Amino acid sequence: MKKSLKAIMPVMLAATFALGGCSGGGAKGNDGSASPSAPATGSAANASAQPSKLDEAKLKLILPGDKPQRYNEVMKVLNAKLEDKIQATLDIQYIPWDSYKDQIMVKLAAGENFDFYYNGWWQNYAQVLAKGGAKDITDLFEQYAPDLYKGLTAEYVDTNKYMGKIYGIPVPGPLEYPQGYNFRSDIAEKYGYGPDNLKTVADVESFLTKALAGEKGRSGFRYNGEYTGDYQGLAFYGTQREFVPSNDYNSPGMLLNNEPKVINQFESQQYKDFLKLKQRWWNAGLIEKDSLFSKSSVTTDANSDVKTLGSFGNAPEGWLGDRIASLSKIEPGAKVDFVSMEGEGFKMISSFKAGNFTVISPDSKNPERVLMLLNLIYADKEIRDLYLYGIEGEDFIAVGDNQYKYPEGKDATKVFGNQWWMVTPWANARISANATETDKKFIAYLSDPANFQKSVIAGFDFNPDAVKSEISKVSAVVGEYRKVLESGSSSDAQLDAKYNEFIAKLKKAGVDKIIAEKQRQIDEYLKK
Amino acid sequence: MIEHKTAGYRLFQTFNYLFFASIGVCCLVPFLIVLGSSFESESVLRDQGFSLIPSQFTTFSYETVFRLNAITQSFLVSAAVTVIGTLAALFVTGLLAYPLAQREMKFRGAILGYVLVTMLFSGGLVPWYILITKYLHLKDTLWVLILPYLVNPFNMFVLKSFFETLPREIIESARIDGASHMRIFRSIVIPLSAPGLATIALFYALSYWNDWWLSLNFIESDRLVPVQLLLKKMISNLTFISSQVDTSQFIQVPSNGVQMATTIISIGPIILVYPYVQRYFVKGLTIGSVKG
Repeated sequence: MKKSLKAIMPVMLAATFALGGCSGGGAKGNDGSASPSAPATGSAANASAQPSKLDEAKLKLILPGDKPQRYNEVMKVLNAKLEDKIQATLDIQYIPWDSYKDQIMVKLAAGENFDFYYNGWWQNYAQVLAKGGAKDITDLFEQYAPDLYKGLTAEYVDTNKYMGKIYGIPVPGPLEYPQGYNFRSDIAEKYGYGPDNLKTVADVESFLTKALAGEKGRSGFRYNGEYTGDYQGLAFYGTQREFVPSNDYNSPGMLLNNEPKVINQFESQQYKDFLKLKQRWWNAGLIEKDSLFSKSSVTTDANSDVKTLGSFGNAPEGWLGDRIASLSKIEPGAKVDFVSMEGEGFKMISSFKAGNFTVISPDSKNPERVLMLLNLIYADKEIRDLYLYGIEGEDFIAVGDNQYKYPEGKDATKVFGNQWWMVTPWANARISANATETDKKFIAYLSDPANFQKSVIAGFDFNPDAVKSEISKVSAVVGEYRKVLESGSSSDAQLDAKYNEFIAKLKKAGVDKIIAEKQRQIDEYLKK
Repeated sequence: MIEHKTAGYRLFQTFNYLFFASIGVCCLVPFLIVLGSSFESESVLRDQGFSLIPSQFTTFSYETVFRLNAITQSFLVSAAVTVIGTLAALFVTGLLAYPLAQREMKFRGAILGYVLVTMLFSGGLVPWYILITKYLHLKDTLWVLILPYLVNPFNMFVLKSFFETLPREIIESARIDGASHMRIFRSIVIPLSAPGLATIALFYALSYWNDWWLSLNFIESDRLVPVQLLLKKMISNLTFISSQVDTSQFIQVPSNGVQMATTIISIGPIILVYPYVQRYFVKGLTIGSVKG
């Protein structure tokens, strides 16, 4: 034993030594280790002094993401207030994004003790519902969260029911994003362009042609490492369109002009025209050719790329101002603006359904208290600000009733912050005080139902089970061809050959069966 | 060593050196690229990709990583788990492997089969999760990072085969001299098995050091988060933030450089273990122990 211990010891010593050395060099202090239950003990006395109050409850919330900075400080203040109002304390567990879905399923299956959590259709809400992972709160909702219920409106809550019952509490956000052109307005101005004469794709093309001739070292468009194609807006500007399933641009089968007729978008004339357009731009040098191999991300480009004149994408919801702030640090005077390419008075199609939900766990011992808490977050501005933005003056500075800015010398990475779309309606969230007029215009636009038209198939959900193997084959083909075709990087002969090859492969993979199945399900849904 | 001076032998030697040198370079270069890129500024990484020698030297990526308040604590947790875990796992695995290496042991086949089954089949994530949280009540303790990996069947089989290569004659002679099984294990088997034990120790140390899965599932409090989970969380959330422009506010995210810096930081300490263990790999084991 002695000898073998000796053999192992140096290894261990080396490990400890190395680690000791390494950790000594790291940042000092670890505020993270303070006990989160500290405020609970202090207020127990408070509760017993007023026996008429409710029993003490500890509510546990699970959210995706990373624990925000200054979590303990903010929760202490928040819990003291919650204690006072509903005799409850809140504890939040954060799970990394990429394992969130699975962890939620495991915790639900194991019957773990937590009260509520975030979920959404783009996470695994459908699976959660199917497996009974959400508590039926049909009888509780209105009684314990009256303000929230009224604020959401009974109609909205009804639209978001599942099998006639209320499970998750819907969180209203932007309905749909009109697509348009993000551009460097300072440079556009120099060449006589602005929101008034940038209304169509042709306008953008003439602006870029002029500006690139005059400006050295700039490019019209660039791709980033996440680029997989961009037909969804460019091919269909000004046409009412709905993807089935919604926002899935890789799955063939979509509706045009709000008619319940499923088409294969990749075979449409619009798509062919779009490919020709991109090819022309590529050949004319409007697109930075090297960028096809770029590794950058959308976000880093948006905040640090001052070379590119513009890009097509979603209408802004408050971030234009922040972009201007970070770009002008790199290039003084840089400005960005956004114009919709959809045309005057255009109405996007929307199902008016929520994408995100706050779900109460079926094993929660205090569903009433959770609802009371959500009601407070909805109705009580002080609680909401604390929950979303932290302590006023230290984490954020309120600007008016619905804007905020960071205290001097702080930014998003140094202060507390929770996402509004996991718990409370968008209308309740503050926007950055940097927001521009364009930001405000589109925020007002995005949340006003009058700007959207209800989809003919609102409430329909595509069930992929019957064509599962076709879908996986088709999406492999789509993934392979879209980026190459839509980047515009092929010659005339190549483009036609490639395109025909793409369509042939789609057919072989069973695309027509998918379209037929989507049509069949929609017809069936409309008959009801 | 005898000097061979024939042309053929020299050619062979040259070829050998070149061959292994090129394999060595293939292993080393990617690592150096990671090292170089971790000191590169984010904008250069974005425009020009990774390179061996940073053109704009900066420690920004490392500053970002070390700005995490919890990293000191996490290194301590990882170190404790690795050291305690490796010693304990070595001990338990050794105690299981040695009897199973003895042919005359009763129910040897059945027990081997039992161990083998755990290698091929598992109960699934949920039952395992329930066992650990509901029955063993290990959730959110330091032990949950150690106990589940105490016996790795694969390592057990490696160690068992190693024990089987020990000459039976030594053990028999010890038996004749009146030594008990424990005594034989302690005074003869363990000292002779240093190379085998060192190999297994390295396997265990690596798996404890690199693990984030246990902590992802079972650790909630910040002070028990090991360094791998802390870094994984950071990367996972950075990647997510950069892919979700629509839903998040714009935040300056130095993702590529940070990933490289993270890789360097997390392999840093464990790489120092290799030189120590290598001695025991190379050492011949029972040379000269059996005579005649």
